[in-house]
Amino acid sequence: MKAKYFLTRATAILILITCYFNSCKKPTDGITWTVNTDVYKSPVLIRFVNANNSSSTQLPSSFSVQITGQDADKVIMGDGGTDFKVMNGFLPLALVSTATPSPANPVVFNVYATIPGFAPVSQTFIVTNDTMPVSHVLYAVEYANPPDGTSFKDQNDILTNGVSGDITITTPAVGSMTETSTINISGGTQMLDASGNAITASGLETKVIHFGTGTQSSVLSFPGGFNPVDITYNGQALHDLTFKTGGFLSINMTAGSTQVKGFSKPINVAAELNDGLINPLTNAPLNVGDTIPIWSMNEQTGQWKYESTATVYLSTTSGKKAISFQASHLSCWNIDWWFAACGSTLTVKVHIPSPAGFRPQYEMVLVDANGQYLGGLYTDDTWGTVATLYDGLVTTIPRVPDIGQAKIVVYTRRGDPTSKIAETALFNPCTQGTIDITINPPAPPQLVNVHLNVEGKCTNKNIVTEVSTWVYLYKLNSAWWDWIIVPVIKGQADLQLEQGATYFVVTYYGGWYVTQGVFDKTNTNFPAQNGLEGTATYNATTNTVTANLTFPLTCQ
Amino acid sequence: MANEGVNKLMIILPFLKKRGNLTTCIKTNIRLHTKTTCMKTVFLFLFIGSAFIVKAQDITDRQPNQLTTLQSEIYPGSAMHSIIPGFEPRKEFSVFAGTQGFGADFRYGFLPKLTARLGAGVTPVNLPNAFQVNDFNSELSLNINFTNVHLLADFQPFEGSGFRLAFGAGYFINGTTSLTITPDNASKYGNIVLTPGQMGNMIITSSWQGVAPYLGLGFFRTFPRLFFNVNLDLGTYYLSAPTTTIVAIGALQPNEANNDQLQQNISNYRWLPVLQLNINFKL
Repeated sequence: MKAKYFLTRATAILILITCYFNSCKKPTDGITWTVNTDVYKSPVLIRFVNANNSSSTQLPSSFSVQITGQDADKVIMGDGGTDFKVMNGFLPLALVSTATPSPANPVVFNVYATIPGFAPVSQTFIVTNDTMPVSHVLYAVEYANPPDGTSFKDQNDILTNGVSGDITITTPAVGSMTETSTINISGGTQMLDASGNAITASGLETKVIHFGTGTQSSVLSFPGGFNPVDITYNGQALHDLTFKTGGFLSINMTAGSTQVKGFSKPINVAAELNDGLINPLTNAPLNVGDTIPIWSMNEQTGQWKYESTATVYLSTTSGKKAISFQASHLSCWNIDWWFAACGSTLTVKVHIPSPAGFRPQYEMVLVDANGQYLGGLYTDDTWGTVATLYDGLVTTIPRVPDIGQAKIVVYTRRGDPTSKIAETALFNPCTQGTIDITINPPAPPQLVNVHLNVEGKCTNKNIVTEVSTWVYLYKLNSAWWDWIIVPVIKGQADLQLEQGATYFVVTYYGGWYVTQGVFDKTNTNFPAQNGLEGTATYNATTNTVTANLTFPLTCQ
Repeated sequence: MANEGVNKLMIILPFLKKRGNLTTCIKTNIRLHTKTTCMKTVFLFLFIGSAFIVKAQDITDRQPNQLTTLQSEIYPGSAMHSIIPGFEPRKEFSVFAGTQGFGADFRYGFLPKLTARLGAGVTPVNLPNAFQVNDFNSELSLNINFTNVHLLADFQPFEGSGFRLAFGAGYFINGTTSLTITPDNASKYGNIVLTPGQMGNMIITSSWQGVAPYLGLGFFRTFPRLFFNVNLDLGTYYLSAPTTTIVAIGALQPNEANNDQLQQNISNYRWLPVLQLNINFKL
């Protein structure tokens, strides 16, 4: 009887246990926790490229930059770091979560880089939108291979305890850069450092780059750009100007190993001007007797200062129109007319009749009547350099220069004037209100829509992070301007790629991660080449390849 | 009587010892991915405990026929409701505590081998900081809130044995477990440091409601000889399929998308094991 009891009860218990464990599946099976690390604002991607497209010299794979300016403390790397380092030409930045940029209260900062073998690079950035990602290209001028439209002079002279004899430094006329510039240092001039102290060195090296106005590659390389934010004009602070340039001089001197920043007596700088220069004040060719303001820029802070006004004269040696000015300190010197913002907005409507759904990344710029660059357009409130254009795009530029005549021009490739694909007629940007531009692009290759899911995968936890970063895609052996750059917001991005083409896919998020794969109408793998890996599936209904990519991340 | 007391103590001691393991299990080892291990401990606890109960019953329950005699002496009026000649229906009020919480039953023995019980139970359990999930630097709070009314029948197949088969159903008015994950330290993802405030929190809720059949076993005498006795139930409810929700805010908000997978994973979590100690008072 006892055995019967025991068997009955034990069987029942076993049934219960079996039932329970057969039903068991870990609640977390197949679940990966997700953390949204998109806590920063206004992603800004800055890409450094050699201003000379023909040069084979690559920028260093890694170099540091300085973030300066009034809101420098609000800027961080896009991955949250504060070590501002350019990796393979890319510098992804963002604003801290407490920043609240707006058109009325923009966040302004300056990026300054000294790259071995290149002229210092300086650019002020204005962020007015707390969500819109913006990408910029900064052109670094290689001393050995300056871009077309510029000229470079590297000269060594003797100093006596930091005091010069009579020194003349002349930049040559090279290629399409037909203008020269001359710097005269009179004998007995004491070299001074940044603190105004005398430098007791025995040698002086001078590097001068003269940026002309005749080529787009030169104009795009102008340090500081043409949309200065903070300007000191006769002791007054001005904001949001637009420069119309007559040329630019980047002068760097080193006495011994010390940077020369000043002189005991002013040096004389003379610069020839392009024959085709239009005086924007008269909208007529430049004449002798016309005047042009001279500006200096502190490259490290992006601060501009009005220095003097030069009068155009005829050079007795070359017969070209020229200006000259006295400089008591060294910096970048700009020969620019200036225009305040007129208070009007300009709305640009883009039309791309065909092919339907085509979204090319083109450069759309505002130029003056002479075709000279005034600024690039972007879909936020800032002046950028490139935009993803599509049929129906409407973008409003809140500040335009009071320049009288301008036009919108679209290039398929940045920095390449031969790639012009569309332009408007001349219009007054202050009174136009809305301008339509129609683009008829060449027939693109067969395209496939691409949806990217990009996540950081914690190496030590069952967590993935939704990141905000940038992804760069390029076909093998393509030029830098053919790279497709897309912002990834909360881990997602949409774009179009050539169907069946093999692309390298790259992202920079505390590290440089690369994979490679074919975007075709099939499911495919993206094996890790340098940390980035994943799979892609194709949806024929939407003609969309969805690629899920992850890169390793250390989490604590 | 002294021997009986010692025997009862021998019954309880293994439980106390095992309960220590169980407590440790709950407090230190209930990470989501070790649930199975923990449940093995629970069932081992139940199985060994039940074996001791069987032994104890053999020792303490050798004179079942004394029940009727004692009952008649104490409650002579109860014979009036007999529906079988010579059988007198019995009634009792029970309070219970166990894995399904605590509550009370009214039990009515209307046949010699068949008893009905109607009652309700609640499980208000709140375990703050009970355990940790390694994936987050966080505090976890587990809240279990089950409320049921039930109607069960106890069938005593072997007269006088104290062994019962129990079956019936419960209606779970409320059957909710919620796990709240609240990050309590900064978390670092690459170079990005998120404060607890930025991380937000996540509440994972599972809900079982509705009718749930019950099947189980009972041990020890159903009705007390004198004023009260103690007996035990071991069984399980088969709950309705659970529904889950994940509500998250802050940086954890994207995890709401994991709800479908969670729901699928626990869709078979429908067995609610019951180990219940009843203290019965004769009416």
